[in-house]
Amino acid sequence: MAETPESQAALSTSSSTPADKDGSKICILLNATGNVPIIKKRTWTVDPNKTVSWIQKFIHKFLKLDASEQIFLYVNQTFAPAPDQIIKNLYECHGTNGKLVLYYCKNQAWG
Amino acid sequence: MGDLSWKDFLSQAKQFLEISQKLDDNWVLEQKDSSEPNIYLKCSQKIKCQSGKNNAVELFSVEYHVVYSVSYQVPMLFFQAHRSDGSLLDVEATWKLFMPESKASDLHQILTQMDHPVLFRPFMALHPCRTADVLKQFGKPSGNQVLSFISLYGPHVQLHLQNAYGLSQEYT
Repeated sequence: MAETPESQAALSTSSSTPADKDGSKICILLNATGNVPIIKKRTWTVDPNKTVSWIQKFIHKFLKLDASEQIFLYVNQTFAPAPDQIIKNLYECHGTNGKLVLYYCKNQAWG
Repeated sequence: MGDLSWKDFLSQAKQFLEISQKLDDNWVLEQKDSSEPNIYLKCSQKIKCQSGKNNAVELFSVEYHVVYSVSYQVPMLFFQAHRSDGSLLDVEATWKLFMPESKASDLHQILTQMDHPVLFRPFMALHPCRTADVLKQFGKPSGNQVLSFISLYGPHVQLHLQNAYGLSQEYT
């Protein structure tokens, strides 16, 4: 899957970017569940101050989903963090082995 | 999967309550009697919001109920918001407070006034028709669907759970 220009600007590959620039960033692992399309590149590094809703929007844009569909993010098979939660806090609570494992699925939320 | 039985709802609600107590949160289990669906989770909080003509910060007291829906076989979120003078927010005011960005035509499918299944009073409620679908998308079945439900739908109406709710290993 080719990366879109905006995704390159926003998220960067953990392997290809220099470590010094990347030191403060948080490594997240994205897992698809349910009927959502898979993103081939699973590991991303993210600015710790980005919010959960920012990641939701990113995946939504990346997969070019319909506006009526919504991306849901959750951790530990059970818990969906609040959209305004920042990744730093989430990592401090749920990070394992230097990574934050996030699951995502999509569905229509209403109607 | 996705929908859950009354028995499951009850045991998961009790589990949720235990986690909440460990985290010093203020959820309680309300019980009218032991028959279906007369037991529900309740919590209340104060929220601050800018509203009114001169953008003054107003304080609202909101009470949330997580009630089992017999027709949809999923948890449902009911709530009621009061102003600091004790007056109740009507549907329009609730929309304005909680979902200022949504269009009125959409809101009829999201948030309306419904009969509370236990108290038989009108309450604001989030529509349950997609809840089972959404819960079903959680890959492996979620260990505690009541917790998943509250964490998914709560933020739409300013009900945020601490991150630590996701930590408990008991459900896996």
